[in-house]
Amino acid sequence: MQLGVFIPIGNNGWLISTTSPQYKPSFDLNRTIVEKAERFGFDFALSMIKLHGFGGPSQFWDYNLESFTLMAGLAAVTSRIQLFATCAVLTIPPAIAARMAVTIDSISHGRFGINIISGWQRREYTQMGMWPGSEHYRRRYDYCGEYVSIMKELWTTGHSDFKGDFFQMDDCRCLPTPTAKVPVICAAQSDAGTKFAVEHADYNFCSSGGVNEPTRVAPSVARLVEANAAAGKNCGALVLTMVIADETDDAAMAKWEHYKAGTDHEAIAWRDAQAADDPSADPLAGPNKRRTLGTVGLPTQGGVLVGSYASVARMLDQLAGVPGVQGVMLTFDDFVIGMEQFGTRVLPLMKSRQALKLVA
Amino acid sequence: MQVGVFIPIGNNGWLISTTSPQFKPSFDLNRAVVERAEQYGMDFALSMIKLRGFGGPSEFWDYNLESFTLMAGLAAVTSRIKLFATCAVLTAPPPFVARMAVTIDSISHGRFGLNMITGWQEKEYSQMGIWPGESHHLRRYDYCAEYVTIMRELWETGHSDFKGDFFQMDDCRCLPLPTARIPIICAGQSDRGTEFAARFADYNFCSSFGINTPSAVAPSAARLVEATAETGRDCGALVVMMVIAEATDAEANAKWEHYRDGIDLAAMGWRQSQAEADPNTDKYASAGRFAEKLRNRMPTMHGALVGSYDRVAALLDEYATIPGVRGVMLTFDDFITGMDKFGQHIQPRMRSRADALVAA
Repeated sequence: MQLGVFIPIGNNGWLISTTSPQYKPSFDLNRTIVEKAERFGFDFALSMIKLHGFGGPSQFWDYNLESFTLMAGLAAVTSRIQLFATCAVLTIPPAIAARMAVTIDSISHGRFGINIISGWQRREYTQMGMWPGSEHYRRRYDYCGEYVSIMKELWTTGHSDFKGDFFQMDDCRCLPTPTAKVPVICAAQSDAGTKFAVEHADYNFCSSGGVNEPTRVAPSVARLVEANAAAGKNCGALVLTMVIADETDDAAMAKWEHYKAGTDHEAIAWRDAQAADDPSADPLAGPNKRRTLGTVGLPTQGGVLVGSYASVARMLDQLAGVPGVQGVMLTFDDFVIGMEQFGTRVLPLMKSRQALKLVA
Repeated sequence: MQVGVFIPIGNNGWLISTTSPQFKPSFDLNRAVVERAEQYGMDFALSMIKLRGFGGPSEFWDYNLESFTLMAGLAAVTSRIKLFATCAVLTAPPPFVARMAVTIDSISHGRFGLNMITGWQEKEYSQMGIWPGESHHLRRYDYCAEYVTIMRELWETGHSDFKGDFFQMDDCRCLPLPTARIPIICAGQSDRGTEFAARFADYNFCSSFGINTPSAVAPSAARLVEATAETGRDCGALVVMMVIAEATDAEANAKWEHYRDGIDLAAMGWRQSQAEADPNTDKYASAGRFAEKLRNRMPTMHGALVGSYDRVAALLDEYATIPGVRGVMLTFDDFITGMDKFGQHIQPRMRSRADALVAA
């Protein structure tokens, strides 16, 4: 099973609480984390792009760096790990994103990929006068489809004459071409999103849910597997989950209870109000997925695994066993301590990573 | 006097010829150049953004990396030199660029600045469907003024509500703030461009003219001095020039003649036709300057210093005496050997660098 880390480009990582570790994002912090990840043989590191936070007492995600430039810096100080930046397709033209990708491919000697996001949080775009209107919720995957098609034409041939609904290239040029294939990934949960994923992406993130329910992701993964079969494609399922580990189950639970005690309800309410702007009724689409996945009111953005190193290793192996799952991407309560503990205490216990241990 | 290097983000650097050193851009090449720059105590390194080449047999600038991601990578592997990326204002929204700048500020621990370009070559933008039309030639500095105003508000306060002709922010947020002030530079040659520089920038690039004629830049520098007298701001001229140096005048002149032999007229013709699309008849605007080089068979984008180390050092010292000139930005025929020759043989002979070398 592939192993990745979702690096904290935004303050406080993925715990929406005032009693969880409080920290601002910086290059130095993310560099430390990715260096550990590379040392422990992680396959990839990815950063998101978040242009507006959720506020509240914890100022959740009010502080965020930019993804392409962060990964470019990390590319220059790493040598083995695959790096993904996130591209918010409403912010820059595909030809610009394509050239940034080629540059990070050059810096990293072929270790770069792009995560495509269509835009679900209106405020990120209305704040700078760039929101296309409610129409976007319906058409955002068509938009992404054109965007990715243009980038791929540029990466393979150096030019594009693509004419679509949203983009019209006119003998657009982009050289050099990348030295290695630039994988495309996304995090699309709805039916429309899943269709986009199987058509255009190499991997798709499926939402995890609940506390210590590693197989709760199964329906979301099954949806992707089914869509693959229907389209004759091979888009791999990746799962995002938080790990809160300690020496014993009780110690880990105590931490989790402590984080829950300071849940920033104001920030969560903001987030949920933004998500509710999307009129979609799809159970896994933004406004609805937390109910479906059982994470309503929790200070997290998805599922969490809480337990001793042995328990966490066991649950990750269970996750690896869900049909269709090809990899997992992790977040931590404290990224520096969490990565160190994960690499030294959890990884050696994971059967789903045993074969790879010998190679790294 | 400040000295910086204009790094080769585009193939073949700034010699439009088939008999000059032929090379593609890469991170590794640019890293080698900037490491030398830092080693020799240069003040800054800057990369341009060029989205469309001029073609011809030398495929001039058909191969170009992207500036922000390149400088982000370089930020991670340097520790003293100032780094500037170039922002083509038509390609990304100001809040997004502001965030990229904050990120590179984080990577570099406060060594980052921005070079603003308004866009003169229509094809760079029309190829991807983002050219605003003829009116841009006349309004590009108004556009740029709004752009810089928004970024400064975000860098200073973390938010902007700016309402202008081109941009309307709506409680736009951007945090964290940069750890250091982010200098703005630009390269306005026309009256309008010079006025913009005097209002907003810390430095303005002036192109040099001719071979071994430092005094030719005096009128440009004087215009800037006059414009800053009106705004009361401190904006100094940085002069761009190529250094082609050898131990003797004869050897340097032989190289220069060899490069002229292979002048790529097709590429220069394309560049000229693009520049002529700008209806601005200001004699310092691009079209006028390029026409002169075509007439004189000079396969360059700016003036050059050709000669022995002694001669070149003396000419650089002469630039330091021109009122309004704060520094020079150098290109080379061969960037690796050129940087070494500059650092080892030319700079030590420069009176105008004596203080800088003691401090380094």
